[in-house]
Amino acid sequence: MPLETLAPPSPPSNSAIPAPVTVANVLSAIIVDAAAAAGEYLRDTEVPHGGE
Amino acid sequence: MPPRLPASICAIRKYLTVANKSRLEPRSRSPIFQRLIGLETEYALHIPASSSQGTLSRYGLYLQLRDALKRLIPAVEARHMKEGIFHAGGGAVWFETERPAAGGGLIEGATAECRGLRQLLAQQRAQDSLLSDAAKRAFGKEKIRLLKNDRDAKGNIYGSQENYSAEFASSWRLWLWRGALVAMLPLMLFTWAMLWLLTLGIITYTLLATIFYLGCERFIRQPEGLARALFGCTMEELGRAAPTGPRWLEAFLSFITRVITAPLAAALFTAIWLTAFVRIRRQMLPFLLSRAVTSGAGMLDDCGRFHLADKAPAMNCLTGIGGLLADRPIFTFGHLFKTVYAENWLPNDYFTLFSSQQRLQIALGDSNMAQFAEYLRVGTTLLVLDCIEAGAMPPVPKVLRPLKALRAICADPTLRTTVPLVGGGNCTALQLQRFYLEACRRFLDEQEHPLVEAREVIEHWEETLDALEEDSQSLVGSLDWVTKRWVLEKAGRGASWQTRKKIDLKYHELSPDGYYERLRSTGVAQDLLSPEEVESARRNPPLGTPATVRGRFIREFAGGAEAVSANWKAVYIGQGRRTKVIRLASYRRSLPPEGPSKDERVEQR
Repeated sequence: MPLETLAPPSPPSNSAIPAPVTVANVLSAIIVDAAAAAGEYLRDTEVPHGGE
Repeated sequence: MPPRLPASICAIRKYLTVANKSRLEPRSRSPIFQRLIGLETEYALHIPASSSQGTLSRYGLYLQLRDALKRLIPAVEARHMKEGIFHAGGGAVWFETERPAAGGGLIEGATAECRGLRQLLAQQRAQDSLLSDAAKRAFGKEKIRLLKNDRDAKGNIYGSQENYSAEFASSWRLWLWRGALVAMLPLMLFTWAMLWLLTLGIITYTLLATIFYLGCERFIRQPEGLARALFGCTMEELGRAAPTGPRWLEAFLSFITRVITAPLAAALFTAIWLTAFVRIRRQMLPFLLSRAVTSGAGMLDDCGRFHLADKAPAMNCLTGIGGLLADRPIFTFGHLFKTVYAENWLPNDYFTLFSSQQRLQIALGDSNMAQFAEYLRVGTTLLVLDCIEAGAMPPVPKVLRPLKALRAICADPTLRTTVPLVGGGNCTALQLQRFYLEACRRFLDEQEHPLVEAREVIEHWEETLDALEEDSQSLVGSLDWVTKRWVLEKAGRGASWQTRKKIDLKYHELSPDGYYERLRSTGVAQDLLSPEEVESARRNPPLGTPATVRGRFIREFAGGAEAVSANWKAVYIGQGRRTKVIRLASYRRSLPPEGPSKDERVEQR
């Protein structure tokens, strides 16, 4: 699928049917997930003192 | 066909003309993709605050992960200066002890030594997969995850390092290095004596602290507080959660060790700077400065600007020991320093430093989620190294102020930034990459039997540079920085910095919830390796390397009646005087002629 033609997914007509795994669907899900508790995620992935 | 170079960098082109052809006479049988190579990867941990494991130290989490890993694959304790295990795949997993008492410490995976690009890719992916599965087993319900990235939201740096066996030096430089090693011996002896005294001091402290604690325990209402002050943990936790003592002691030891080893480090650094991999460092630098265009992981900085690479902006010197004085070098020699001051309890290790072949360690490079980016990162570097060692690399364009140039290149995802060259002119990162592409292509053309795998790297390299110039979006899924930037653009400028930074970090999560993994599930990213290849690499060490023998012995003897341990140099079976030592050195230089069993040297202590 050409990436330029991606459009936001249309809402499913029946919530019992899982949305197909498409780039557009996954991208939308990622953006929604990223907005949720972002500050906590950053805090919980801290690596004190780093490494080599 | 690559686009025509602008006149400003015609100096680059002239090295590849007929006038220089005599420099590139056929060298028909140069070794290609034959050297030993390996990757080290430090993984961050995502530990949700709500997790019941959140109070456990990182060392405690490492122990849980290690035990889960041992249920997935046979493994034995490492006989090494840091705590870890070697597994039947030939690789190792370490607890990278960066200030653990102060909350630090990382999970580090080291692939087995490999002798081929595809072999290394498979081993790296097998390691990611094994550790991800072990994390799921150990902390599944707690949702503690591993991240294969290089920088956290606060700017702490860790991540990947590449290792290539290469020619350390030749002629007078090699003799200068060997002379320096001999001349440094009194300083080494002094440093060892001081470190032994320090060890004696720690033992004395432990004894006195224990006596003091036992004497006071009965008279104090809450002895846990005293135990924490003296040992860094309560008596119940001692031995399983905090092996390094209290924070104040750790900070003191860290400081005093630096002071004790500083003179030796300074002397060693001088010797390294004058002699170690001089030709390789000089000819490879412009390649590494521009390599992020194909293999950078992408990074969102504190101001919301996008960079091509995660680790590159943090580099502060070209050559260094690495970490001793807050240095973060492109070429790092910490492993040589450790051999001189810490691992050198046996004369054997000291004498290995006299060899003309050593491990070249490159710290400039990001951990990759995309297989294709990882393939290009290692494949192109291998080709450049082979070309340099064969003497086929034409004079390279010298970049003025390399660290400044590196930062400028990485700060421009449009790839239009030019960097100044010594002697005048400017060029872009893509032009630098094309210079090396052409040099390596010519090098391969001269080979009697060019390796198909090397030819494929050249083709993919060229296609990638072309795509970056014409339509970088066609590389979504193939290059990490392009993919990450694309997701960030889709999130929109309106998204908060925290949201965008979460995309930057969670892209690297090794779980089905990780953003790269989610995109991969759609088929947008094309894997180079089949699932069967990765599965095979999870169980089997790479052939024709020291890891072949190490892995075989570990699979055979782990879990048996006899104690087994291993390191990069040998496998040890049994204890005390009856320990059998299987040395792996004979597998380092070239492929064993008739399979593993012929060359094994088994000694009895």
